[in-house]
Amino acid sequence: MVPPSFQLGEFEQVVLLTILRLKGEAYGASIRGEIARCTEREPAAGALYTTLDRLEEKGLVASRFGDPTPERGGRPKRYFTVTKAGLEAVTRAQRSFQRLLEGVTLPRWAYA
Amino acid sequence: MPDAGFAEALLSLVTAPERAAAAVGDLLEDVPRRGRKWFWLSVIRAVAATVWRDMLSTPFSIAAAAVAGWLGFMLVALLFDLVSQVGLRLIWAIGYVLAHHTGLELIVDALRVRIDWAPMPPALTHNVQWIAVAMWAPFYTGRLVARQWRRRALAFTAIQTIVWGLLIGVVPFVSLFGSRVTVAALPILESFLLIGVIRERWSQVLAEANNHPRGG
Repeated sequence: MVPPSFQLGEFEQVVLLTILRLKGEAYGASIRGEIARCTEREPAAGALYTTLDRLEEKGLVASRFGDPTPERGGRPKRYFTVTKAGLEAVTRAQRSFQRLLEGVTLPRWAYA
Repeated sequence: MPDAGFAEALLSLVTAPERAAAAVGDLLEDVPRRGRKWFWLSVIRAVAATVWRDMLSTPFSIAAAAVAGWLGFMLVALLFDLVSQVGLRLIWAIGYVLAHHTGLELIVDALRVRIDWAPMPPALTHNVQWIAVAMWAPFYTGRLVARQWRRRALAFTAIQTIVWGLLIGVVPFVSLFGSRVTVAALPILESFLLIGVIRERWSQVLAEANNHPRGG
């Protein structure tokens, strides 16, 4: 049985995968932009920040603050990285999806 | 350019100041593309989403604390009611003494002006009690709540609003103040509770900002 803190909702998986995609450049605005680009859905800022905070509380992501930049009015970026526990959780979740997909034939347009 | 400082202060009511600053910085990056309306909507939604998350994180312990908060509010309301009524009578008595037992009375008599010191009108005691119980006491209770719950104070207040709405319909509030401060005072009482919470949180945010000034 997967511990509750390792159980991921759909949006949590999206956020974790996006942070992994962005490598060292994952901060609020870049994560939101990358999610919008990949999923064609623009996440609300509030939903994204509460999800990031929740993932950090669960120990699945870690954050650090960068230096303040003038284009952001002297405000720092909060960079996120996926922890070892986060990587395990998202891997387990993706494996579950793969197992569910095994033996399922999706129509050709699903891959378009 | 929107007032990013105000937006940051709003977010700081519900989250750590450095997180609020980073979130506002993220939103500012998109302002040239999306505009000010989107910026402010995003800030408000971020505050609401954080309050909602905090409410759902430990709803039962917050509700239990809200019941305890109700009892605390009752004590504060009784104390403030007592203090205000005693204070009102003291002021009335001082006024009477000044008007009738000092040189002022002689001056007034010389001017042939008559001062009647009527008994204290019931409406005055009623209004003072109303201010003490439905405005002053919840405002002060709100400040105490914010000192205890800090960043989660707004979530606590939201649940408290529901719990207090249920509790005011039963004893002992109505039996204590019912003749003059009735259940109809609840919206005002809860408004002043919220004002007290925001007032105290605001001073906490300003103090945090002064303790950790941001460079750059």
